[in-house]
Amino acid sequence: MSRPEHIAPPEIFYDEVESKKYSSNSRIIEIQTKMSERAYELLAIPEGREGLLLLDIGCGSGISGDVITDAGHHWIGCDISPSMLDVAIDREVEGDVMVRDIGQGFPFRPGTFDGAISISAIQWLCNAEKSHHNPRKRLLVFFQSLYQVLARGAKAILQFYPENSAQIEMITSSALRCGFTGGLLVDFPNSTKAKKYFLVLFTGNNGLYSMPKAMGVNDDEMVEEDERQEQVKIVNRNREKGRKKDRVGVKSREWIMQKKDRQRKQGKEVRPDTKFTGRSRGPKFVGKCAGFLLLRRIIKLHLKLKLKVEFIKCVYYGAK
Amino acid sequence: MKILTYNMMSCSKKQCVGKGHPLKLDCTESQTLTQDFQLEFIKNMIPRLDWDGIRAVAPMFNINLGDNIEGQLENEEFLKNLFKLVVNTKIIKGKLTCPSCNREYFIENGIPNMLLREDEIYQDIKE
Ligand SMILES: C[S@@+](CC[C@H](N)C(=O)[O-])C[C@H]1O[C@@H](n2cnc3c(N)ncnc32)[C@H](O)[C@@H]1O
Ligand SMILES: [Zn+2]
Repeated sequence: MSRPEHIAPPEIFYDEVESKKYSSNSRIIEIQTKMSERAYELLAIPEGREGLLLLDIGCGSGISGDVITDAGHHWIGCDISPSMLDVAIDREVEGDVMVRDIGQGFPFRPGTFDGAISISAIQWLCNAEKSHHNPRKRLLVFFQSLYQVLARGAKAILQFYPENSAQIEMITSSALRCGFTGGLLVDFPNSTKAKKYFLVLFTGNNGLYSMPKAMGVNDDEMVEEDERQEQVKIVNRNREKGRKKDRVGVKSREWIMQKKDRQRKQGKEVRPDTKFTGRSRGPKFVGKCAGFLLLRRIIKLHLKLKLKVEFIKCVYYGAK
Repeated sequence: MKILTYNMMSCSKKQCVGKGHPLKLDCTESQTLTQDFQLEFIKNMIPRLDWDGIRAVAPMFNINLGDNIEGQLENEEFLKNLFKLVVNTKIIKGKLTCPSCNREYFIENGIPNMLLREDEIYQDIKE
């Protein structure tokens, strides 16, 4: 099966048409949002803490950034595709975006960010797009610069789609060479559908960190996995209309109101309801049917990518 | 691009490490945003702000922060003005110039283009 990374360089692949399609596809939005929420959770920011500044690496049209905004923080995103960023501007995301190749590092002063997330982007660094590209060098520039722009004690959670175990090795070893501690976390390692790779990185220098737990590894967590799979199934079943049980759509106004109610009951401070609550942040575009087959292929890639890597469950690094 | 982002940025060419900021800002089009004042955020940002950069751009947007910034960090009116400058002021069109190498970075549609050319890339990393 071909991967986007094999088709064209990112700034060419995510052209205007593809960027609009990507950002208006409800399944893509749902999947990216879920992974972003998981990445945010792995940052382990104390509950109730707001007003941090986070970096979104390969921010695209801002789907991942929206999760940061919803958690009450500010963000700055870098992406190499101007078309993706134009969509972010059209969607009026609250974060700030800039065109930048992350393989060139980041144009920020040291210690700028309280944390970083990256969703489905860094596997692109493993490919040489230009004749002068050297993936190993680019990964080192990337991680070295990331380490610099993070405040001491900050974490980075990078979800990615490795093509094989060599890529995992190349990415993790580059990160560790640049001063990070941490390791790879694999959610639902036994499921081809739900399996997700997160590189969990700490800037702490004294080894005082502990890796978070992966989901769907033990039996008692299988329930959760079933739930996840169920959600994937529900998504797939959307095509057979009418059979689906009534389920309040995530991020719908109703869903948000319910969530706020729950939080109010728990005595949490909740933003007041306004006519904007749950308003759609996009999609503002509906792609035409041209290239529909390509789109299907890409969704398949995101959903069903069968990774050749089977063994790596949870590798702990850095605790020398 | 918000002034906050501008303030955190630095030219990342190899020869500019440590002296690539504050970038010189030329703004031909800006916009005022309406995000609610968030005390927690501004307090969190204060230790990281580059005050030379703040002083250089505040007058461009008619925001008066007074002369003695350090003495005012608990003054609410000052903090609100600062928030207005860094969060609610957005540059739509303009140019950033590195104070060290004079490289120009252009801002269009609110998005700065920070892509470097091949010959500008920090390449001397040991493998
Ligand atoms: C699958 S999209 C994910 C976008 C966003 N994080 C989300 O969750 O919706 C991957 C993004 O990575 C960006 N990307 C790929 N290679 C990059 C590079 N070298 N520098 C910056 N961004 C890159 C692409 O342009 C694309 O927008
Ligand atoms: Zn410079």
